[in-house]
Amino acid sequence: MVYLIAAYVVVWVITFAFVATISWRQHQLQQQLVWMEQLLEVKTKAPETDGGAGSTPTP
Amino acid sequence: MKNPNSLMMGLFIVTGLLMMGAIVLALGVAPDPVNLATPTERFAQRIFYFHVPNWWVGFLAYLVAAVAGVLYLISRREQWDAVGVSSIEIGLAFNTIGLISGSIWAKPTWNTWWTWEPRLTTAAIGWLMYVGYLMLRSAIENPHQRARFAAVFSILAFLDVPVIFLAIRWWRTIHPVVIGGEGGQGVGGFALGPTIQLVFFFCLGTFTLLYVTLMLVRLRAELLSRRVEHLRQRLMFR
Repeated sequence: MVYLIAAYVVVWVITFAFVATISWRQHQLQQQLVWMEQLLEVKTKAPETDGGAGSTPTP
Repeated sequence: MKNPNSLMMGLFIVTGLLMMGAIVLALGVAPDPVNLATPTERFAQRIFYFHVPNWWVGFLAYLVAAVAGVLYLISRREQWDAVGVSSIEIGLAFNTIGLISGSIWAKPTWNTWWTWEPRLTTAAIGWLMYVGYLMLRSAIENPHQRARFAAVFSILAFLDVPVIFLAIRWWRTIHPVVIGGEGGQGVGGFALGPTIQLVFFFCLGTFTLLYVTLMLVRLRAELLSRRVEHLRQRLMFR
């Protein structure tokens, strides 16, 4: 009985640990992606505000 | 079209319910094989319902990775590399469970945790090769070179899979031949009766669905990480 319980615990612990790792990684990546997209947007807009055609000059 | 997140959640729920069903069937419904004498052996035999499906998923994952490797080498599309690495990571997780659960079963049945007989030896070699695959990937910085090497490695490593499967049929071994065997072969072997077969195939189907679910989640994370990497490159060179 002990061996059976031990084997089932191993199956579930590793499976859950694997799923948790993937979810955590995905969560981290999504945060990074949002942050990078914002940064990229700021960097893309920056040359326009610096004196591109039609832009408002900063005081 | 439905939201992919809700579809994924639905798939997770269905897989979870089927997994619970598999546990109930394996522990409560499946009968004890008649040839196993001691209660310890009979209890340990129930590990079989999860041990074999774990190996099946591992082999399936390696097959998918090998096919993705071939497709990558033909098309050079990055997506196939993502499929390959995702599938091998899942396969390795399931094979690790397979090795540990097999070892736990072996202790009461063979009176040892491990023995260097053909099935276990080829399985250990396979496991080490796929660990090597992940190490190889982390050692190469150039993404194209990494994908190319990984594709070739996944095809070559897959050659061990049929050897693992056939080892107990080719060589003299104490590992039981339950599927396609005559029942009593090997130490701890038993015949697949109709109910045992039903429960076993239910578990096999459930684990296959678990593989599909995990693959979708893992692949999504892999593609996301590549998108982050591309964005990082763009930001660096701006």
